[in-house]
Amino acid sequence: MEELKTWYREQLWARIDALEAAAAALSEGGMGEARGTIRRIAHSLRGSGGTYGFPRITEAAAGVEESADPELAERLEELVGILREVAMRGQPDQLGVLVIDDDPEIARILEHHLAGKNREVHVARSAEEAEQVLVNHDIALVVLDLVLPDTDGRNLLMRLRERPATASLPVIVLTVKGGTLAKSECFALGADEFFEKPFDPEAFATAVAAKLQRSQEMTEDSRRDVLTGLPNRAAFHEAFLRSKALADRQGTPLAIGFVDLDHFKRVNDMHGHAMGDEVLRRAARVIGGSLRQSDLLARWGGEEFVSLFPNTDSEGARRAMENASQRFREERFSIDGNVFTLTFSAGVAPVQADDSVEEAVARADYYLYLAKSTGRDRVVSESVDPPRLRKRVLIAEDDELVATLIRHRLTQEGFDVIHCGDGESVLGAIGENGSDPGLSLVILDVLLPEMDGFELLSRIRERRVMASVPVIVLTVMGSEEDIVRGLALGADDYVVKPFSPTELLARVHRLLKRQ
Amino acid sequence: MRLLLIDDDPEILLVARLALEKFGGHEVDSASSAAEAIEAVRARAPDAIVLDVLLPDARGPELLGRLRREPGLAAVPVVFLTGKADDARVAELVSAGAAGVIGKPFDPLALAAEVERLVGDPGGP
Repeated sequence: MEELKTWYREQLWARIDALEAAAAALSEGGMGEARGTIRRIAHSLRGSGGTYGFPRITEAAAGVEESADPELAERLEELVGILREVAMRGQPDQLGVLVIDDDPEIARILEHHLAGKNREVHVARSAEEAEQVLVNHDIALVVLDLVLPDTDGRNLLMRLRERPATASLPVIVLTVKGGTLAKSECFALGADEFFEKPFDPEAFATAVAAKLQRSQEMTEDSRRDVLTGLPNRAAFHEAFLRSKALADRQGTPLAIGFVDLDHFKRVNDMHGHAMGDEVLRRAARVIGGSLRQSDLLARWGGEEFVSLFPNTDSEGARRAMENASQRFREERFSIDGNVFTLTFSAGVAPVQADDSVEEAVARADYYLYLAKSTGRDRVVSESVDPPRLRKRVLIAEDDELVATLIRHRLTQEGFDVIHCGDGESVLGAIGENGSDPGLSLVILDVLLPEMDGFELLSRIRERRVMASVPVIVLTVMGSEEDIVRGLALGADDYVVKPFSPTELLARVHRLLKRQ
Repeated sequence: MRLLLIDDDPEILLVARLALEKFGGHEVDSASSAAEAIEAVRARAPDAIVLDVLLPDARGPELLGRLRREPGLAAVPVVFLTGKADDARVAELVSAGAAGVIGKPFDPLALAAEVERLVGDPGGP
């Protein structure tokens, strides 16, 4: 069921795109058609969401389907928000607000004024506590009282401004100390706003909202990778320091992973840079979506990604990465009717006590190098030595359902599975003469679009490295001629549709044993 | 049992098909429109049909009528899938000749057993 859920999550992106396009049309006055599209998609999501274990989708989709026209846009926005959340498998972005005040009464009142959707309010009673919060949380805004038990608030403000990470963090100073001196001094030290207690709650709320908005925009721009939407290298750097501090304090393990897409240059060369960009976006989505919720994936640069696994040893991280690798391998890319699949190599390493970001990355990069040099398409960590080779099976089948069933069953049995929907992509996956695709077995549907299975079979057999790889042909009932022809062309076995996956699996095992 | 599953939603089609095959051990053919459904029953007569109420080219009850007129299908049990399984809708579909109604969303783990119960099949492959 987990596998199906992940598959469903991936399907959601197309729905999100369609709903957003319809929402745009709706706001431009294109009522009738857009409304129909929205209601139709909502109806379908209402049925499928709960079926796949996401009752919130069903609930929100029902809201859209049944809403009256005036509230349609609003309900739609809610639904798209939930879809994005489920698709990303994460929580909505919370904006952290830090209130630094030693008076519990005031802190409580501020918390009340500040609390709101998408805001997380932290309270610190001293400068020291404030520093702790800043290390451990993403803070978008600071509300600072000048009178603190351990230091003058102005000292803290000065310290914040000196550090690159907090130099541009919005700070609202709040104080009972009157006088213009304090005020001008605070502005000189870099405060963004100044409020004297008792303050006007409305003006305060407005200032907070404005600062948060600016902070959010800046954060989005400077910490997100524009192409993939993932955290960028700078954001990863910060996340690393936070996770490292937490791991050190709690004595929990922390692991790091380094990912590099295999043969990415070929994608750019063969299909153009637009396709290359699409591959990177999808890679970000698939890998990010298949790691666990607590893991973090960032774009390092080019076709490289880096990930953090809090509270996880390198074996656990390797497993999580294997899972992502499997999902990515199953992802199908298509351009101009050509379907192709891709793989990645990854290195996974434990983060050690006095590692800097660079040292930790270098360690993971070393295992990535081992993964690349032992044949790519694998995850290597110090716990996997030497890298084990999994048997790889290629399925040529244009029926998605049949392919999904076979792939599911073979994957469960520990095979690596490559799926191609037509002959051209099979030949692409096998590669040029002289290269070794490392296949252990091929399962071939004789009925494929364009190039039929027989022609494909003879072309496969022409490749020297493929000459002795076992091939099973899939035929339909009542086509004995096909079976004879397949066997004559060098197939090793045949299975007649409809078949049970168990039967097919038995044939696979038998053929591999014979090798 | 040989089932024909008809739904235009690819996500529902996949999960329902896997559920009926994997958990029920049934043979499942699928179709995503009324036209495909007619073609499918002409190619292979099913023992029972699981049918979405809303299809792009036909309403469920109308398709049910058309299917029933196909040779050998006059008495084939049909179970409807619907997003609105309220009492009135269920009564309407049952009076139109449905063996039963299953609401969406449904529990994939229980789907096969529910279909078997509604069509009176003892279950098993």
